[in-house]
Amino acid sequence: MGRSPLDPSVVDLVHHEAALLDARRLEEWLGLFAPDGLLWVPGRSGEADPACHVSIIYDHLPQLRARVTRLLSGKETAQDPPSRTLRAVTNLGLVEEPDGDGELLVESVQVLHETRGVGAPLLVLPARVTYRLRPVGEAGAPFDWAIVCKRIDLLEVERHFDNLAFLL
Amino acid sequence: MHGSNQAAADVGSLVLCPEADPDTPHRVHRRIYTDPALFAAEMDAIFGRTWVYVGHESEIPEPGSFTSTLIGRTPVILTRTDAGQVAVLLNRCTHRAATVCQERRGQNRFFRCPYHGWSFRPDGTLVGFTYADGYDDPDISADDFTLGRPARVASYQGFVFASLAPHGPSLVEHLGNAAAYLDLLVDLSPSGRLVLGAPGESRYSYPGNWKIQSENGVDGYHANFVHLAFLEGAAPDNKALRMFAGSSPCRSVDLGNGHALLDQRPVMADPFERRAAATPQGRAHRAVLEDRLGPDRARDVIRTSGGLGFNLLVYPNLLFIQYHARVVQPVAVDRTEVVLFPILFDGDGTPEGGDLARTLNAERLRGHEGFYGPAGGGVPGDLEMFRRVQEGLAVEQVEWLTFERGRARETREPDGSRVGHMTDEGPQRSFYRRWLAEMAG
Repeated sequence: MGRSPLDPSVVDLVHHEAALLDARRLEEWLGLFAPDGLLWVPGRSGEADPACHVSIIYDHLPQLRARVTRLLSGKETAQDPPSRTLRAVTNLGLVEEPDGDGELLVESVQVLHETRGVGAPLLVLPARVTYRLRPVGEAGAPFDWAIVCKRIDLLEVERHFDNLAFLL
Repeated sequence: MHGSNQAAADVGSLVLCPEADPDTPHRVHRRIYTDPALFAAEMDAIFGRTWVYVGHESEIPEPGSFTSTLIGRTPVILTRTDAGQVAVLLNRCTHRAATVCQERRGQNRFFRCPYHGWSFRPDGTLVGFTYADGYDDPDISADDFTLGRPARVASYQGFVFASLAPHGPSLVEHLGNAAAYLDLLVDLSPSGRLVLGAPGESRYSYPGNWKIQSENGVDGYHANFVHLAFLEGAAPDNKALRMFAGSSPCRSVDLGNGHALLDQRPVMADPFERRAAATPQGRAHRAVLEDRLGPDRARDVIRTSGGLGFNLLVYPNLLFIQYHARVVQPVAVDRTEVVLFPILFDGDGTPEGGDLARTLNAERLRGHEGFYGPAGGGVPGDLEMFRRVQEGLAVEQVEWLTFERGRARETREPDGSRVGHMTDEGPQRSFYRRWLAEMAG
């Protein structure tokens, strides 16, 4: 897979995205997505067509908003107590150069660590995380890029997972 | 006495039944969720005897297609033979016991045991001995080493079940009142055909006993508590909350034979029918069903919308909920794995074909993912409850779990079923009546 040096603004976005999630600043995190943005966690490795293969998460922005509202509502049983997470982000690279609209595809390796409450086991979820990013022109935008699609390919996608309510 | 026989012998002390209904437990002892000897007894007395779901015929479309699964703790393979027959094989080399199939799903001409190279056809027959000159004893023949099979295999509407016991009720007798709901599921397909397997599966596990999931799949009492955040967000008109409220017009049904139903149709049938009328794909769907089934049956089918209109427990470990078939796989007394198979439509049912099934299938997948699977809006909350139930079962001083809700108000129907309120625990009493009969039997 060809890789080109990354613009520092792209690296900043990916690191900032992970930091917002780990800080549970989920409303701000939603702001990183384009209006047609998508969070996709395929349910299988390799080729996956969301029209005919089940996914673990396939949320466009409205569903993602509802998910965040639910996670932050204080009424979500699966998040009582809430997860604490740490994402290690590494191996960033450009997969696709900017196309005609300036959109580019960036990949990273991320290791998501999660625990909840006292004595809860540490869950480790290694994943390849790819971002389709669209340049944002307007002044005042927090970043130069908006996330069109964040795709999380879990290394252990075939596993029988426990509670993954925190996964974003 | 053998350990599991001992456990079966004292099973009567592990349930409490009311005098007026002496075969129907309304309380069960904590040990049935925590005692490894009772778990072993269940594997013999329940999974070793009753009909257990092993897969759907659409998962093995061609000769050589296979899936692997378990009957209790017995590994089996569902295959289609070279002659096109559905077969269930015991996944155990007839030589020195290694499993011959490790993959969950695939297509091959032979199951080749990796240990000493013995290869078996999809019907289980041994192709021949490797290094055959070592088997020069005239009393030994490859024909004697065909892979084993469960004693009985039968299908209903493409759903394949197997029983490890040679005798017992037929599959149709076993399914009893549950069969009509499988008919409703299948009839919803524009073509009358379903496809499972190819869409993949959602998988999860929890540190708790398998019966907690079988109980929960037909529990209308927990939804407004465990899933409150989801239901408030998903149903601004409070339809879903109303369905599971104390004032709900919806019903729970003890179908007999251990099977049970939550019937959401009293609240949802009208919205399903309106929704089908509101979109081009919904109208096309209804038109195809009316052609195939006639207007009356098509209306019933649309107003049920398959598993959207009900939750169905097929005793002991199969559930049909919303758009999926759910298999509850016991692993150990305090560990369970669960697999959800989304049920999609196979084709449009019209000669010209088209995008109808693809459009409806995509809707079904999105609907499934929204609530089910390990990161859905609903399943993680249930998993948290299952974990807590098993944690609480460690308290030895409080011995009983109670399933008495709605016992006095349930009504008996001519078909032997018992009907209660949506939030009643009749479904769990149905499960435990059959559980007791099999464990004590």
